[in-house]
This record gives sequence, structure tokens and C-alpha cells, in this order.
Amino acid sequence: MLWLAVWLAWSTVKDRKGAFVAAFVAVVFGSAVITACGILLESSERSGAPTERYRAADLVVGAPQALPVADDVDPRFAERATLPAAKVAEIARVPGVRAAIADVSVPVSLLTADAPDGRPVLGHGWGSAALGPVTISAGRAPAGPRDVVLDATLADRAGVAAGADVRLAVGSNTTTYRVTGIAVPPGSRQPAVYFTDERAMELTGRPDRVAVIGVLAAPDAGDLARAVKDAVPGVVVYAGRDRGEAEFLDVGATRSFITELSFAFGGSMVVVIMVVVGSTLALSVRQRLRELALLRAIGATPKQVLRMIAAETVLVGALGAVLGVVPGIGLAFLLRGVFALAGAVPDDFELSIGPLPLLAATVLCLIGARLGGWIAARRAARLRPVDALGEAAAEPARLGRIRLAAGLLLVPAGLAMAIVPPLRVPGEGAAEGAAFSAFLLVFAVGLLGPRLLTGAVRVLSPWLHRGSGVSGFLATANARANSRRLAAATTPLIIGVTLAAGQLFSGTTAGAAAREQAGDGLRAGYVVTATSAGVSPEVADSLRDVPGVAAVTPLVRTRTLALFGSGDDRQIRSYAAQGVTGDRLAATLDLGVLDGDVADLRGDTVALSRIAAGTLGATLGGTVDLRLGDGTPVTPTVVAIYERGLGLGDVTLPHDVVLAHTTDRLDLAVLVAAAPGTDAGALGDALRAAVRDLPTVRVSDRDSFVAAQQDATAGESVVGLALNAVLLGYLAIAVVNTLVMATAARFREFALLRLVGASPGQVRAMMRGETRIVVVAAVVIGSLAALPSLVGTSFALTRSLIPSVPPPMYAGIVAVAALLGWAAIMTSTRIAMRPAPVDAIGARS
Amino acid sequence: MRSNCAVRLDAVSKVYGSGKHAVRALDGVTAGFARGTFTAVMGPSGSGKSTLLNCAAGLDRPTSGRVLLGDTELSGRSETELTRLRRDRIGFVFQAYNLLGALSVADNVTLPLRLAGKPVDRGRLAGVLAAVGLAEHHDRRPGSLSGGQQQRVAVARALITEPDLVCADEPTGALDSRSGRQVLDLLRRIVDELGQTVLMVTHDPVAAARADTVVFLADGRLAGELHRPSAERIAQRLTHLGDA
Repeated sequence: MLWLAVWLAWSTVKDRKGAFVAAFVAVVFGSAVITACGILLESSERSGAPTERYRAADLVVGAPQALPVADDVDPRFAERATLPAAKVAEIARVPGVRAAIADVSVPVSLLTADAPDGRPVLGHGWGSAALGPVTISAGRAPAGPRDVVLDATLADRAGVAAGADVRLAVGSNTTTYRVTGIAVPPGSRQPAVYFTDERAMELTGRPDRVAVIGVLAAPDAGDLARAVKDAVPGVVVYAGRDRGEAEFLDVGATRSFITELSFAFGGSMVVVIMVVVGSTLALSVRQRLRELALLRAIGATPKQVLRMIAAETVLVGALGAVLGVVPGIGLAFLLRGVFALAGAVPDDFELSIGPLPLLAATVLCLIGARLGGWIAARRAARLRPVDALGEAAAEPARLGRIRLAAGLLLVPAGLAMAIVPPLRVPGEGAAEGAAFSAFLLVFAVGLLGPRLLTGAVRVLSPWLHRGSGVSGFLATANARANSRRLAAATTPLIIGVTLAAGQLFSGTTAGAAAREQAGDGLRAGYVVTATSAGVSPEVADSLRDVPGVAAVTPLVRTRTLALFGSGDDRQIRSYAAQGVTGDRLAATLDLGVLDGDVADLRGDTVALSRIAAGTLGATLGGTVDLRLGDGTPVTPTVVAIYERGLGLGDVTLPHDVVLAHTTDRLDLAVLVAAAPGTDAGALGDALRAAVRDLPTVRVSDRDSFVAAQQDATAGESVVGLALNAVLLGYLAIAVVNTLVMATAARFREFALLRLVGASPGQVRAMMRGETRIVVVAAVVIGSLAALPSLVGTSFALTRSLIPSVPPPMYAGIVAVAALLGWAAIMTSTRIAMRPAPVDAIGARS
Repeated sequence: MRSNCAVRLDAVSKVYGSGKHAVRALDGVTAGFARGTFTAVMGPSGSGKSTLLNCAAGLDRPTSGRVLLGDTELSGRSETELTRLRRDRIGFVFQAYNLLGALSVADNVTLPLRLAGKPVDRGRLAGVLAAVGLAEHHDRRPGSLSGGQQQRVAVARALITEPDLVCADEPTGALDSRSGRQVLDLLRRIVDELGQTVLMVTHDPVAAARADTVVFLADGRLAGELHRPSAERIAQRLTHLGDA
């Protein structure tokens, strides 16, 4: 019984490859995308740089670096969470611990010829060398506060040997140190310098905190990790491979970035792929209704037909899914490369290719194929043989009443979604609701497709085909009479245009708004920045006394986690945050305050953007539950609500609160506003004179700072663009598939036309006419469906009704839609005309 | 000198494939079909009757030999030239799938004129539709017509260009006997009343009996002809074709 189905399926697939090519292609690429996401996910789980400086440590103890959440990825803290120095002694007392050694990291810049050299390196206390162990190849360990040991990599770079002097900048302060020794670098990932322990602690600015504690075990210590965990609360114990995670924060950050991305993006792609694979299979089954009806007529039971189609889909699905694994591996490498270029993952993030993602991709594609085949087959099996023989020829004239009603109801629903949330829903929900509008409208387009296409043909044909003679006449007649077929072929293209416009332009709208807000919000005429890790907080104080300066605002950036809702509905969001001094803030940074006063920003207070306040349900005078950069919980009172959150950060906290809880304790910049009547050039000179002794500090004007900030955020949009490219690329495959199938199925119509006297050129001209209808209708309807959501998103984000639509990008969408439509339809027209017309017209249906 | 034949085949051979697998569908067939006559081509399956029709109509190119449509030599012409010749001078009726579902009856009928870029004469359209008995179905879609009516629309389309030759390949093959008879009546009438030349391939002796001449083919060669035969004689002749 089963073998009959498999044999029939195999013969069909073998004989009618054409009918299955489309489904096969959809499965191959779907499997590739799922494979790539799976590989990224597995790689992120397995990733991790091996420890370099803690190789001799049996355990490495650190503070929790993420907020534990049940049933979800734990959101990570943006800054290094530190431990109280007292924990060192506590751990040292645990039985089985031979030694507990504290380590701190200080960002240091090595200055050569008064210019900083490359990216900041990290400074540690020499005591931590025992954890490596880091050994000295020449010279001796540091003994005094001006002694330093460089690792050999750095020494080579700076061209110094033991006994020489080097200038090191910590923050903005530059000091000359004596190189007492050269250390053997324990690895190549992170160059290091070593101070004395006392000096290192002093340089961190927080002598009461340590970054990690390395543990050396006594012989026969047993399960020391367990013992430490039990004895010392509030710490995380890393052992073995995981030790690198405590050493390199970017490892964990990358892991959570990739994990979240794989789940969110991969998850939605799985849905898209299953829908595309399913609908492609359904289309291929529908095109074979006559054949299936014949099987029914000669005695196949509905169950046998179902089984045969099931076997076919499994066959095609399995073959495609397995073959898709190979391009999937390539796609994973491509994405990794793009992420690394954008700076979203470190260069040494390596892909590990295990069997699990490949298996998952295969299984998911098979499920998609099976579901799609089942839905199509059910219809085929239900048909009476005579019905099926008749139905393939004539298409039903009208849409079902339920379908029509559902479609008509979805249009106002979609419009309401674009209008109501932006007006009524506070916070991010507004923009999310507006974005959902596009999906509702796309769904409506799917249901109302034939009606819409009929309308579009009526409106468009006169001017699309003016003067194009018989081919235009034929194209219009075909489009009118076969609006259902045309709609089925055009709908994927419409969806593609809507999603492309929605995805890309909501991104550009947010991006443009952020740039505009960042530009408009920055009032300071001068910005002091650093070429090293940052500007020391004292620099801001020193600039206050420069003549002609009206206001000085130190600016430090981080990310905070905000907790809101209660009970099961508790949610966490991550916000870009900044620390500033509230005093005379308006002169340097105009947040666009809507309510309250940012001058009150001191101590236990916070200012929130309109959107963040809406999401968190926070009101003026109320409190919000935040986790600072290093995870420290605070519940500040809201003193102001402002508009420019997209460009300047959604959470604004007092400067000292933010600074104390960052890894580096350095300012990003110091904003300087001139007093009225001050000569701009003279002030610039005065500022430069004030920082003359700080070689890492630069004074730049407002515009170049704004430009530099925009460059820095470009990386994020690259990641978004890459993911959109994968999504839209996959949709493009679906678009081409449906167009090719719909066109190729018309071979007998082309043959007939040629037999009654149409030249191949005239048939092609007719199909060019239909292509024009398809492309123009798709662009017009697709753009219209995207428009409400874009307007709503723009209003929700910026209170402006006009979304940012860069003309070249829109032209690109139109060009890609036209190219896909044209290539798919015209190529398959040529192929469909390949057999001689007399053969084609007599060919079986 | 104007040829008396609408179409003439001169030592036409058609070979499909090559080498060992070569199939000789037509083997040196010489035949002429006079203007204003109705000729039926008969023969067992694989005798080459469809190939003969396709070569005569310029749908297929002979491997050797010449085909003359009136005084026009068909061999050696490009596909575009052949398309133009067919469009202007030959009308076609097929067994099934004859009409474009997207077009009305009138548009289907006038399609060859439009494809040729010629003006559509409403009077002529009305005349042709009246001739096939479908004047009142002018605006109907093919999907709403019966099979016989659709086939009569196809005949009207074949007539609209006033062709030198109407080619019909099993025009009644997909019809019930009543509808088939109506279509044959129509073909007979266009020969008798309009002076058209009809060349029809069929395997049905009853259909062939309506022709002036029945030409028999066997193994790609002419195997005799009958003038004004009865269906019984045709059937008899067919039965013994293999014996010759």
C-alpha cells in the first residue's frame, strides 16, 4: 500500500521534474537559511575564546554578568560587573583554596611620539600574573608606582626594551613609566601591561572593587567550584573552558547577541519558509489537478491520492532539505563575515558546524513541505474526478463570500492598527502596532487579490498599453479574464514590496529621526573627545574655568535594563542610556523636554524619553526599576520626560551614577557651550590650550562630533540590512517561483496563439504587457499597503507623519520588483514556447 | 500561371530523429489539393497523416521535397515568414483547446486579423459569425459555450482571413456525434457556398465521408484515394490498408 504510493510518487517526480523544481528550490533555500541560523546558534553556544591570563587558575570567580530570567535568554549587563574587594578574603578562606588572587582591568593607551598607539590595552596588577602564569623574559617585576611590565607584543610595537621609559595614558592622564621587564604574552587576543597591584587598584578609581578573583586550588581540593559557590553568595564561578568568558566580556556579549538574533530572526524565518514551501507545493499540486483527477477516475481512492502527494512532498522536501545544508553553511560564513565587519562579533568568533543544526533544518523543512502538501492534497482528494477534470479549465468567476468579507474587514483593521496605537498606545507598543498594520494589510491583499488586480488592470491598462496594439490588447484581456491566476502570481510580489518597504523604511525612518534628534539636540559648540578609551571625568571640571565657557556637560554612555510589569507579565527592556550633569544641561544638550525639568537630575533621579516612559508606564514623580550598566539595581524618581530619545538615548541619569557603574569609568565626551558674545575661534583655541597637556584629548566642533557619532552607529544598521537581505532574498525566490510556475503552465495558450498567427515576438510582447501590469500593480498595491504602517511608525517614533523614504532605496525596491517580474515571466515564456506549437497544443494537460 | 491547387506537396519526406532511431513519417509524398474542394486524410495511427497536414500548413518543415501554397514556395522560409504566411493564408481548427478563454467570441474570431495588424471589418465579422450560426453569441466567453459551439467559433476564426486553405486536425474528435455533425455540416458548407479549400485529418469514416476526396496514407506513403465515398467504403478500405 505504502510502496504503491512511493512508487507512484517517485515516477511522477522523476517524470515531471518541472512541476517540482519550484518547490524543490523553495526547500533548498529555506533549508539553507534555517541551517545558517542553526549554525550561528550552535556556534554561539560553543563559542568562547580560551582563557589566556587565567590558564593557571583552577576557578575564576566573577560577579553575575546577566540578569537571570526564567524561560528566556538572560539579558546581559553592558558593563563589567565587579565584586567587592572583601570577597577575595572570603574566597581565600574556603577550604581547598590555596590562593585567591584579585584581578582588575584598567584601559591603558600606550603613547608613542605623543600619539596613542592602536586600541586601548588593558593594565593589570602584577599579582594576577600568577594566574597565567605570566613569566618575565627579561628584566624584573614592577616594584614601585612608576614601574611597569609590558608584554612582548606591546614592547615590540612600541619599540622599547626593559629599562626604557614609556608613556601610558589612563583616561586622559598621561604618566611616564619605567619598563622594568618584558613579559611572555600568554595569548594574542588582548595585549596587557602590568603595574604593581597597589598602582593598578588606584588606577581603577574604585580601590574597593575587583573585576574577577582567580582561585588556585590546594591539592585534593575536591569539587572546589561547588564549595566556593556554597560558601560565597552572589558570585559566578567559571571553570575550564568558561574561564575565558570571565576574562573577555565580548565573548558573552557576542553569545547573547547571536543567540537572540538566531532565535528572533531564525524563528520568523522558519515561519516564512514553511509558508512559502507549503504554498509552492500547493500550487504545484493545483496545476496537476487533471492528472490527479485521472488517478481518481481510474480507481485511486482519495486516501491513495493523499498518500501519493504525501510521498511526493516528503521526497522533494527531503532531497531539498539535505541539499540546502551546503549553501546553508556558506550563508552562515557569509553572515559571520558581515557581522564581524560591522563589529557586532569579534574577529575570532568561530563557527562550529555540528550535525544538530543540519538535522533541525531538514526536519523543519520536511514539516513545512508535509503541511503544504497536505493542505493542497486534501482539496485534490476531495474533488470528484469529473469536477477536477472540468475545474482546471475554467476558473471560478467569483471569490467566496467569506473570503471577500474577511478581506474587506481586514482593510479597516489594518488602517486602524496604523492609526490607533500611535495615537493611543504609549511607548514602543505604538510603533509595533503600526508595523503590525502592514501584516494585516498584506493578509487582506492575499484575500482580495483577484478583486484588487481586476481594479488595477482596469485603471492601469489604458495608459500602460496605449499604442501597443494587439499584444497590449491580449495582455489586458488575459489580465481581466484570469484575475485570479494573475492575483495568485502577483500576491507574492506585492507581499515582497510591502515587506521590503515596511522593513527598510521603518529602519530609515528611525535612523533619520535618530540622526536629526542627535544633531538638533546637541547645542554645545565644542565637544572634547579622546582618541583613547575615553575622557577622564576630571577634564570636565578643568574646562569649567576656561574663559568664555558658559556650560560644561560631561557625557557618559551605557545601556540600562528596565524592568516593568509585574508577576507573570514582568518584562525587561534594554535602553541606551547616558549620564549627564543636570546643571545648565539645556545649554549643551537639548533633550526636548516635554514635562518636568532636567535641572533636577541629581542623586536618585532619572529622565526618560517619551517612548521609554510610555513603555515603562512611568509618570513624572513616579519611580522606575532599572539595572545600571554593571547590573546594580536602582529605583530613581522620574524628574523629566523628553522627546529626543532615539538620538540621545532613552534613559538619562545623573552623571556620577552612570559613571560609577561603567567598566572604564571614562566619559565619552565633554560638551562645551560658549557664553553669549564669546568669539567661537578664540574659545576653541582656549579649550585646546587647556587640554594641551593631555595628548589623548581632542577638541572638535559640534558638526564633526555629530558625524563621528553617526559613523559609530552605522554598524548596527549593517546587521539589520544583512538580515533583511536574507528575508527579502528568500521572498524573491518565492516570487520568482510563483511567476515561473504560473507562466510555464500557459504553454498551450502560447501554442494556440502562435497557431492562429502570432509570431513568437507578439507572444513575448503580450507577456511583456502582462509583466507591466504585474509589476506596476505589485509596486502600487504593495506601496499602498506599506504606507499606513510607515506613517503610523513615523508618528509613533517622532510625532511627524512623514516617514523617511530615501528615493534611491525606493527606486531600488521598484527596480528589483521589475527585474524579478520581468526575468521570471519572460524567461519562462521563452521556455514555454520552446516546443513546436503543434506538439504543445496536443500535449497532455 | 496561377496554380489550380490550393496547396501542393512535391516528393515530400519527413524524417524524425536520426541514425538507428530515425522514423520516416512521410516518404516521398506527392499530392495536390484543388481549390474549392474538401479533402479528408485518413490512415492508421502512425501513418503520417498529421505530419502531412502540418507540412502542408507550414507548421512543420519537410526533410526533403517542396510544399507550394498556391504559387508560394514554403521551404527555405524563416519562422517569421512562415508565421505571416499561415496568419494570412491558412486557417486552423484543432481537436481541442482552440480558443483563448480570456477573449470573447468576437475577439477570438478577429484575433488573426489583429495579430496581422489588419483592420477588423465589423460586417465581415458579423457575416462569418452568421455563417457558423453564432451571430447572437458575439460577446460570450468560450467557457460558457458548448464544445460544438466552441468548435464553430474556431471555424469562424479560420475563415476570418479568407484563407487559401483551412486545415482541420480531428475537428470532431472531442465532440459528441450531434455536435460533430454540425461542425462537419459547417465545413461542407464553407466549401460549397464560400468556395473554401478544406484539408481535414480524421480517423472517423463518417466524418471523412463528408469530403469530396479521401486520401489514404500508410507507412508515410499515399495508399490510394476515393472520390465521394460512403462511410462503409471508407471503413472497408481502412480495414484492408495494411494488406496492400
